Amino acid sequence: MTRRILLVDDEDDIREVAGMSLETVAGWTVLAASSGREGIKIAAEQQPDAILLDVMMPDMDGPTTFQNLQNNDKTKAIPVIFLTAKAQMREQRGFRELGAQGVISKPFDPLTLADQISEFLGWK
Amino acid sequence: MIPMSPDPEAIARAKQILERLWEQHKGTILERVSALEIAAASAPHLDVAARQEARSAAHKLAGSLGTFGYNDASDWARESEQILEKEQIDTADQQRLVANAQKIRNLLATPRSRS
Repeated sequence: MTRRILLVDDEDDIREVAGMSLETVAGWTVLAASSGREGIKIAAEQQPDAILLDVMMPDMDGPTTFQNLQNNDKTKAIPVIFLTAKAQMREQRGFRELGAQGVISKPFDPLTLADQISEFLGWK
Repeated sequence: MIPMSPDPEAIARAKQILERLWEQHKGTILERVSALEIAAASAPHLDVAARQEARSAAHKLAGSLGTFGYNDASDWARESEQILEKEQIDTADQQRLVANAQKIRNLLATPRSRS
């Protein structure tokens, strides 16, 4: 089944590798945003099946972006998976308690990223 | 984790595109290594802004390098990020920062062998 995923990450290379991976390996459609604000706008307009959201971003960080998505009727039902540095994985429980569906650590393996997302969202 | 029965052709295509993306972003990544080298040379006398800039470069390197298959380099960058987060950077820390930047530089100078 073709899925539509929104990637929100301020780093071009991470966004491009993740996007390539999900499109090429999994055959999903990928939407991309380079900031939290842009991500919120695209999520509301495009209604993706899930959002992969970087934690550490300038301007609006991942948790703040997540709260904004949760407070918006148009986006609150879209599942979110946080993408975070390995060193921040200790905060994983906190992200889960916020309501995130999962946490994926950076660096990730581009060849298995779709597997990880599917596992968290029960898309197997 | 149960794998999604990956299509071998798709995997091969993804690896090819990954190589192209590496070439495309290598310049930016090497600039970040340079930033780390410069910061390492002047640690422990970095001001707050310079230290923050170096920490950000190390953080981005840790994420990018591992994603492109350079897992050891990613770990060295992560260690450098953690050193740059410390309140005080001593001589041993500085030596570690210099060594890590050098190891990353050397590794990136060798041909890629991601299988």
